[in-house]
Amino acid sequence: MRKLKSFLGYTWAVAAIVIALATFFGYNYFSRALAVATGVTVNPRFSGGEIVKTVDHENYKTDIHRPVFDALIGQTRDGFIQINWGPAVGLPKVVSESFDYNNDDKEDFIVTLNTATGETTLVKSNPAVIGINKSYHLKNGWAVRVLLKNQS
Amino acid sequence: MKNDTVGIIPANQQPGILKTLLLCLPMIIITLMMLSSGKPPTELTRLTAFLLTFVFINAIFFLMISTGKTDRWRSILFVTYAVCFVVSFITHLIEVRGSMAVSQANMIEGLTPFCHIVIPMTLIPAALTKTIIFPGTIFGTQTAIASMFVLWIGSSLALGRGFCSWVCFFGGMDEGFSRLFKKARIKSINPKWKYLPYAVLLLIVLASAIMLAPFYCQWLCPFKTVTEYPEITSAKTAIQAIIFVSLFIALVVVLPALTRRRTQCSLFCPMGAFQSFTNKINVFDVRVDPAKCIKCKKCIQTCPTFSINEETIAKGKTGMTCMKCGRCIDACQQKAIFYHIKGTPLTGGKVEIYRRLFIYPAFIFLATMSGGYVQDAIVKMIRLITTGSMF
Repeated sequence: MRKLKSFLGYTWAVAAIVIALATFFGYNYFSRALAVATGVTVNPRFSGGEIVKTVDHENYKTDIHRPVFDALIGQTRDGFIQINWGPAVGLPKVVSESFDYNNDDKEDFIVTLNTATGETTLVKSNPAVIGINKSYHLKNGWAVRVLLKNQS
Repeated sequence: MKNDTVGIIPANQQPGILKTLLLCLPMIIITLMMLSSGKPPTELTRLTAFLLTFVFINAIFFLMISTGKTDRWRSILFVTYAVCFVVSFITHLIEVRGSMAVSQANMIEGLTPFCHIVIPMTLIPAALTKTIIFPGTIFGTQTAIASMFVLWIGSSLALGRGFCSWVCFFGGMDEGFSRLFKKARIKSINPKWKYLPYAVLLLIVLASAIMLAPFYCQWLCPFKTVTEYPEITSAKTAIQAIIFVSLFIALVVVLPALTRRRTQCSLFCPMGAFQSFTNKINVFDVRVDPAKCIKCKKCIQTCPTFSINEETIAKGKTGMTCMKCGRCIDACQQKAIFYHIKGTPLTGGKVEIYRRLFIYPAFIFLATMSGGYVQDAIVKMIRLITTGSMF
């Protein structure tokens, strides 16, 4: 038993050298494999959530993300919906667009964004729309987060 | 004094120059491949940085093998690594973003580099929501979330909490400040403080899960001071910045200098507390031979992490928080403390084999992690000297 324990100890110690080498030589492979195997994504509170609709305006596109009410368990009372405009080179000086985020065929809010200053205005038609957080100047466009009350 | 210069290997057992070179050969080949990524740089500045780094790292390893001292040489590379990490990281941020501040737009785009301290905070949300509560990217870059997890898993399997003394790019900062003075100005610290990191760990894990945001990064991380911090746009972000700087000055600069201990790592860092548990499943440990011990307490005085005391010595081992830095081993004149492989005999004169089997994987991690940052920092310094700008 003592010899077996000793053998296993030495084996693991040598394996530590192999692990150290594999960690660096297989860095890309293992990180991709880990990401695929676990299926984890960045929490939508940071990423804005999945894009559910893209509107093509010829020179630029509007990406509408899903409303985010994600909590550790269940949903939160307040959330947001993120809207991205890009690419920056195709954006007009002022973008104004209406949105129906809950797909009830009724306009919920209109966002107007000045792409030179980042100034925004919000016209609310749905009482669940609380306000606008702020505009974010991205590498290749703009984004806003419109704050929402969870109605479900 | 004579003993101190000879090291833990008795003079008649020290390897000759040829044996030392043979023992160093695998590391020379590995570091050559790792540092050059298989192709040495052709540009003069980069080639100079590569050669300097390669020689420096291998000289450190050569000295570790030939003298039998571990911590004395590890510490030099570990502190250099931390300094070069800060130089490389900050200049990179300024080059890419124009400032050390991370804006909310950067966060939305997932441009925040992921660091290992976030790992404990992400586990509960990842298990329940299959998402990572961090504004980074999952994979594709060196500082992506999956890449850092791979590094952490690999180093934890190989080294346990040795991670904190051989892999962590922050640890060298308080280690460097802890060596500023020859004698400790504050000698007595209540050992109960050792439990604080576990309380911090519990707090940040629960708070992060409830808030679905990395609480430690937002409120408590001292290293934001020398890496990146949220853009100061409100009273809240200003308070956060004040907390980061205050904690950095207190825990990473002042207390290590006064106590000669790694106070941030041993009295506050939640990742360190988390990492202590990996010592339980790791094959390497540090053992004490109570029969050889003359109770001089040098090891207790020198341990940077409060991991050895009279109680643990009586049990023949170090505490769970041991970072395997090797300082107590270097300090013990009686050679009563040694690296050990679990399951193998404690006696039988194989102490140097155990040590070598530990320092190979540990040094591969340290050399590879530090190599890139040291090279980059040298390139930036050469540019600064020759052109007046680091970029």
